[in-house]
Amino acid sequence: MAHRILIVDDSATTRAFLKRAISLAGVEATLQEAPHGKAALTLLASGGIDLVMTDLHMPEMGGEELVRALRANPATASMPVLVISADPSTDRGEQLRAIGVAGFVRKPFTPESIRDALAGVLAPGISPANGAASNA
Amino acid sequence: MPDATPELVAESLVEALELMGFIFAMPPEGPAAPPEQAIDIRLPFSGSLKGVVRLVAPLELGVKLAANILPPETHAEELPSPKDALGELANVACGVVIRRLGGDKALTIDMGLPLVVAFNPVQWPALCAAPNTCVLDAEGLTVALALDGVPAPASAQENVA
Repeated sequence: MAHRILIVDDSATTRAFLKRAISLAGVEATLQEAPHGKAALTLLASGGIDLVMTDLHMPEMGGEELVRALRANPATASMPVLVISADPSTDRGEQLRAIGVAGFVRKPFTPESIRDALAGVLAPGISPANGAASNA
Repeated sequence: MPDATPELVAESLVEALELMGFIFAMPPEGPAAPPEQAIDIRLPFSGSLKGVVRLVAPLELGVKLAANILPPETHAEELPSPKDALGELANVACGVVIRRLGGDKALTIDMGLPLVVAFNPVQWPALCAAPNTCVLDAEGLTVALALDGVPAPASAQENVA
């Protein structure tokens, strides 16, 4: 069964690159996109999403605020979230884990790092490659 | 913490171009002319380090980036805009520069959103002469990345030690 993934990033380039990376990683997925957290919450309200992959720094609503909103809503409180960001802060992964983020991949990412991160949060069917993804 | 140098900035841009867009870059053979139809993207950051990363690149490089990211059969009208692609390149390069600059030190950084304007070629000589600017030839296209940054006040650094 295809995974239903919502990609949240204000850059259309990164959304396109993530879509390709997911495809190259061999993950069968139905993909939806949103340019910021607010738009993501609107899409999530209608259901049908298994995983959110989000950037941190976006206009309107950033990734951290999005995660807090998801956790505060019983309907999405357990939604797995991967953060994909260029944020260079050393302890960002730990901070994100503290608010319930399942994984943190730094940009620039590779298809392998995306595959490894997805393998950590999605159902069986994806086996980790030797990539550089780090669990938050 | 490593010193900011043009080499560190250049290595960061090379990494961002290669990993994000499969584009290879190297120093130009001689003084480079300013890129044509270029945009000027400035990304501020603050925290343990404070400054601005500035990318000056031709829109043609954005077209190439977007085309390289998507499958070859993608129609031109489906490609992300070159401005968007260059904005994301600036974002990624900024993160790589700061990580390299931090070395093994703990950093807490707040990255701002990019400011994008058309590049004025009159600024090219001053940009090239700035202390932490690199100019590269990215598969025939001239691109510059500059770091204007200083360590944050000691109190800010103590907070993240």
